[in-house]
Amino acid sequence: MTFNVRLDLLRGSAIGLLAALALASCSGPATNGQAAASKSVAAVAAEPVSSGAEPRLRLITRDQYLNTLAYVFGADVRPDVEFAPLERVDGLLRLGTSRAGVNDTQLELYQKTAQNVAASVIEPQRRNFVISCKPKNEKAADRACAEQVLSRIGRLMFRQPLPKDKLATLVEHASASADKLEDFYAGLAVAIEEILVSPKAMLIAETAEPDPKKPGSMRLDAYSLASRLSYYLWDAAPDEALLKAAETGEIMTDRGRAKIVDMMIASPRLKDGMRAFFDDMFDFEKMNTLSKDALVYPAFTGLTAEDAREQTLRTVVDHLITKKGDYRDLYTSRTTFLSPPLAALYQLPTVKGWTEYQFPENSPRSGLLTHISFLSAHSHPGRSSPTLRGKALRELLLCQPVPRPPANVDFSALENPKAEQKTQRDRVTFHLENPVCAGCHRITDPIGLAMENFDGSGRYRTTERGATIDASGNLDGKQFTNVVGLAAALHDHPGLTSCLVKRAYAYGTGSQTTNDDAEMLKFLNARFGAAGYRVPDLLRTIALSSSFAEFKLEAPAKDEAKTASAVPATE
Amino acid sequence: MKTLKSTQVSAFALSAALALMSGMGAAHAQMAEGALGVQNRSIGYVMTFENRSIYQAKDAKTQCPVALNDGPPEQFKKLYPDKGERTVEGTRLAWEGELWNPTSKELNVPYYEVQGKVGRGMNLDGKDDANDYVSPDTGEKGIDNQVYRAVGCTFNYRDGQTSTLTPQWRRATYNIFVVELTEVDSLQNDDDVIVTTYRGKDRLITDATGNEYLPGGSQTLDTRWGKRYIQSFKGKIKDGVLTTEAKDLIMPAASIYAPRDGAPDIIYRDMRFQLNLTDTQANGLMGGYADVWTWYYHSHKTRDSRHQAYGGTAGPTLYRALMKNADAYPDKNGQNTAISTALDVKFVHVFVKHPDAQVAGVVGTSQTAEGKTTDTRSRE
Repeated sequence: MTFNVRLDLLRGSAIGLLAALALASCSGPATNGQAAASKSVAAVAAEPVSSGAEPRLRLITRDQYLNTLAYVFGADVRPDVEFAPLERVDGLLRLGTSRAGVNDTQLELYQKTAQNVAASVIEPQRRNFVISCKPKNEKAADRACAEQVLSRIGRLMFRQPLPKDKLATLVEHASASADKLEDFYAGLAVAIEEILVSPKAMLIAETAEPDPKKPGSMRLDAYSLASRLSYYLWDAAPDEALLKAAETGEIMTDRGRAKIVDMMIASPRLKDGMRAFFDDMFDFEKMNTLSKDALVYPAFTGLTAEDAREQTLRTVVDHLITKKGDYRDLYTSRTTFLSPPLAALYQLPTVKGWTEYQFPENSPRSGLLTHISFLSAHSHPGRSSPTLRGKALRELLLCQPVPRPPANVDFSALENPKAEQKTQRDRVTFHLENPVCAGCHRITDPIGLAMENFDGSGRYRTTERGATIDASGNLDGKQFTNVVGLAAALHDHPGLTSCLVKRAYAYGTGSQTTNDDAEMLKFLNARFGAAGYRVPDLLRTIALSSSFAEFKLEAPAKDEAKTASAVPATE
Repeated sequence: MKTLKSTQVSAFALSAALALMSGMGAAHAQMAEGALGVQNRSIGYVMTFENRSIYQAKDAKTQCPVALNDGPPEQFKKLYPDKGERTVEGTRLAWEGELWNPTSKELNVPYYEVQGKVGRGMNLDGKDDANDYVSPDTGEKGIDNQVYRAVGCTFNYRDGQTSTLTPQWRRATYNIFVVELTEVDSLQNDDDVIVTTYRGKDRLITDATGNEYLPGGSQTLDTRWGKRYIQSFKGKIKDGVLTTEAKDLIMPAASIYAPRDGAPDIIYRDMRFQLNLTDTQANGLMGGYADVWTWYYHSHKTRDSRHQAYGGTAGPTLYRALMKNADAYPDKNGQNTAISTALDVKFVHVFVKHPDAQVAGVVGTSQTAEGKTTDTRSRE
């Protein structure tokens, strides 16, 4: 396991250390095998054999933490906090959560956050919502009431029932503090803080058990499966219903798991999950720090960047989840959402608040590529960039890595262009003329140049320095004259859907895909296509697949994978 | 109809323009992206800057040879010297009484008015009288701006940073001031346009520096609670300059404190516009006769004595100066009740949304940040 959390650094408080030790003592037995035989969920009739996804130890993300707090304590408990940046692995920050580390500074941040949340939870106006019992005396300890409250909070934050000894420890801390402070609620806050800062809350530790139905295979245990599903589909810890299903074992049955997954996909919380997934896949983290030269693009502000990100996420969720649309149509759809600051950059009329907006049929805006988010994020602070835009399209949307430029590359031709080189096309032409550059730029620039009708802030333009912009280009042999043509070409590109499948699968399992997953991805692609490229169907297929919850200790033999069926299931 | 430059005409822009001309859609044709300017024979602007038109010579001594005026603390000391028996009623309350209920009783404190003949503004009455000014920019004679005479030697009104109509206040307050030009065939020359004033309801959009305002924002008009601000003026455009007829106008209070303290609107008599128009902005003057009482009352409701003291504005003497220089609309006793003035104003382009009108492209519901939806089409 590549996780390098230094538990020895969790020494901020004695309570934290106790919690850390408790975690260490129960997160180990992930790979003890035992034979079993039987088929898994019904959905895998045609699923090929794969190595599956091993259990992981992952650091909780900021949004996962906040979404969980919102469920446990109410939506208004939302501390203003930023967690340390994660490493992007194979196109996803989510995969970097299992390579993260925790240093003293981060630990202090976690503790302060926990402290603030605990303090806010016991505020008189909130305590009736979170604290389900009344102490006999508000100025003294009440063990029964404390136990009732802490068992619920601990169960939700740890994603499994609290062991009796742990609960007893928490109650003891709450009671001792209450007596000392002469305040039941203040004492309770101490124990709540202890839960919130515990490694069991901040780290998502998956554990496995031998699969009784498949000899030689392992599977996630019930609570780990509940967590994996919940973080995948809701970007939050499991709720009461999921924990109940784990507690009763329902989630480990084919029918029970299908019922749970269907419930989760039908839930409004799926939107949170999909926002998190696409935010990750589109590399929107960079929108947090995106800025433009105020002299060149005065209309682009920090608020614009924030709203541009929101515009795309709203569009994605509306199209894929609310309207259950074809994923490919996201790249040609003229339906989107606008806010007043964003509309000012588009120079379009709008109304107060976020509103659904339909670009006219003759508009140059067609799909996500023409959103300000994509156009501005993949440009320079003071100019557009066909190369960055083309590279982003390849890497983010088609899962095609583009090599980094050589260290000794000479950018002077771009940064100090000749006077006659008025457009970006004029300036980047030398890329394709220089054999050293052409290898990579041939796969990026012809795509990016199609987006040149939008400047570095994403605003529409037809000319650059007085010269008419030529936005023609090609994508893997498909020619077009402008970005609308590029959008259509991308819509029909087979890599578009297979990339989403790859990302969705890796995101769900928390594991980087390898060659061993080829057949599984092929199967998922076939299912995705058969379902009309509806993302909820893809999520369901992945969530119900054997490989989502099971894994082999050794990779399957090649012959085994080859003989597995890739025909879409017809359940 | 806006004419697209030939170099900007692309297949898209051309088709958009054609669609526009054909009048597609029931309400307004959906405009081409980035095409600010006249659409459907109308264009909107929102005020981003407003200040008294106070000409300042390079050397203040030219206009105010003795001194700038005292503020409240200095006047208070002179009016109520520290000798003899002092009571609250006879000092502080007396001062406040004069501030909020000014009388014509003579005050034994100096007050300085602007000297000289140079001043900015507009010739409101078409005459060149003894009290009128000459424009330092164009040499135009007959400039009527007695507010300038009355307050031009008061620091608050000189540099525009702390004056009553501080520009930022108009931007920040909910009392957004919008003008819509309709029946416009050209922003260069048009003999017959209509200018209608409104209160807007939406915040202005700033640029990356936070100091400038962007054209291309949207403003929903307040036609329910802001009815009193709706006034139409006939106008004409010549060589890109809009001038209008003179009519009475109520300006919504410009103050960040207005919602809390209930600052009054200012009533302007015979107000008229003189604006240089472009697709993205409208800058120039508004001129008319300010009702003395609402002008004065607005001044003190938006800034109390403490704030007025920052810029040397003492209410009791200010009121007397305004009344002394008032030059129009006499009451039954012959006392003029309005005073000539001009405002330096700047506007940027906005898309104007009438409450019942559908905005082209907007599907019809507005969502809060949390995703809740509200109907925006029939909210009025």
